Amino acid sequence: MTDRPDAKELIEIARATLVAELLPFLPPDKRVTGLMVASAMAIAARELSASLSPVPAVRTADIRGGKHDADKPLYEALLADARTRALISNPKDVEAE
Amino acid sequence: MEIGRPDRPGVGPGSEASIARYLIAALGARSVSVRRMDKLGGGAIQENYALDADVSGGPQAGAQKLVLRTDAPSGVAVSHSRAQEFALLKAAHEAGVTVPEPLALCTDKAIIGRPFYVMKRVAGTAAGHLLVRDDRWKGDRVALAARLGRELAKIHTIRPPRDDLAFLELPKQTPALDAIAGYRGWLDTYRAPRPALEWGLRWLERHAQKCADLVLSHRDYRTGNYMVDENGLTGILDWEFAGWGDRHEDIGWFCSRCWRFGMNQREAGGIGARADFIAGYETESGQRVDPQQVHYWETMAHARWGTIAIQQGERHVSGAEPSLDLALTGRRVAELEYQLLRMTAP
Repeated sequence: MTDRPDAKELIEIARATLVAELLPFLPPDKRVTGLMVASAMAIAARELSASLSPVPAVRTADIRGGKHDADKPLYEALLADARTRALISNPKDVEAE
Repeated sequence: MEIGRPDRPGVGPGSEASIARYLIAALGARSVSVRRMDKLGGGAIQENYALDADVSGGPQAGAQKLVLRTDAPSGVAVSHSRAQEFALLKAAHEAGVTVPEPLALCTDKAIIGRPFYVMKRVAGTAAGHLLVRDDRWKGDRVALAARLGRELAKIHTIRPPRDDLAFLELPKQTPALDAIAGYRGWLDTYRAPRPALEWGLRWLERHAQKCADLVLSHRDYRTGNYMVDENGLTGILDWEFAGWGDRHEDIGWFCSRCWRFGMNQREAGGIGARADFIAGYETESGQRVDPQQVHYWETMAHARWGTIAIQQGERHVSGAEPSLDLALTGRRVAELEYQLLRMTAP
């Protein structure tokens, strides 16, 4: 059992408070640091609510050796996994496709 | 900032006097006094200090705005030593590239505890996120893109063999295959497989072309590594990764999507049009740029940056250097792997 607010909810309200109440009062040379803190919290909150499906087991040596050069299912699985992870860490970049 | 104590020399309060003494000899001056020394932000691998000095006598007499550059406590393993970087900066300066003028190299660790060199300080900002968004810094975006193309062509006039750059190794296979082998070698030491990076590297191996002629490749020629003020370019920085390579590598790195700071429609480093950048390069060099080769190296850029992002993240994760900046860089690997895969469909 997890008490409410849960980890994600706590990070979200902490981040919202940081952005609304603290960031405007940071001196200019600390603004980027403040934004980085907000960014790290946003990534953590998104990760807590994401569901990553497992990537098919594949041997590095087989990729390097050319066994998967034409392996579309593997490619599609890797692409979907990378997209999911990128949507957690930098959704703006994915949405700008 | 470290505190410079007599028993453990470092950069910080107290080290101005020993730096001033060093500069008297290095600059052939009668006397030098250091008025101000402040750490500059931005270096994950090296540390830079702004140094204001009054120099009497010698060729550099007068009030001098300088930069002292030295190693950060831990750095990415592939970067050159400060002595090598100084040689590269001198070679570039002599080739007519716009760089901060290199003045003196100090390998004596008695001065600040680490090797360092001193160069003239150039005006403006290198901050990529500002340059791509704030028009105050751009000068003229068409002119800036063309200028950066011309500067790159001047860098590429430096060719092997060079006695002063003898520390740079020639490629064992081709620049591309050497790069792939290097990233794979590092990935073999990493604690978990990275199948997306492996996929991209395999594609790059299959599509690698021969390199027609070797040039000095800057290897980090991108927005964020040059200084710009209201009038335009003031200096190309960060020479620590330079090596003999393919001319298209720098062009691809500069134009790659991952170095546009979110301004994806401005394909030349987020600051200008690709056509203007390439035109500047072609005009200065008299060489035609092969768009397919540039695309290849743009793809390589994502594999390289993805590998470096993991390395930077590891500096934090390993506990060696806890840092929010490094931690966030580590998480950029996902977007880099995603774009790499999009460029390498079967």
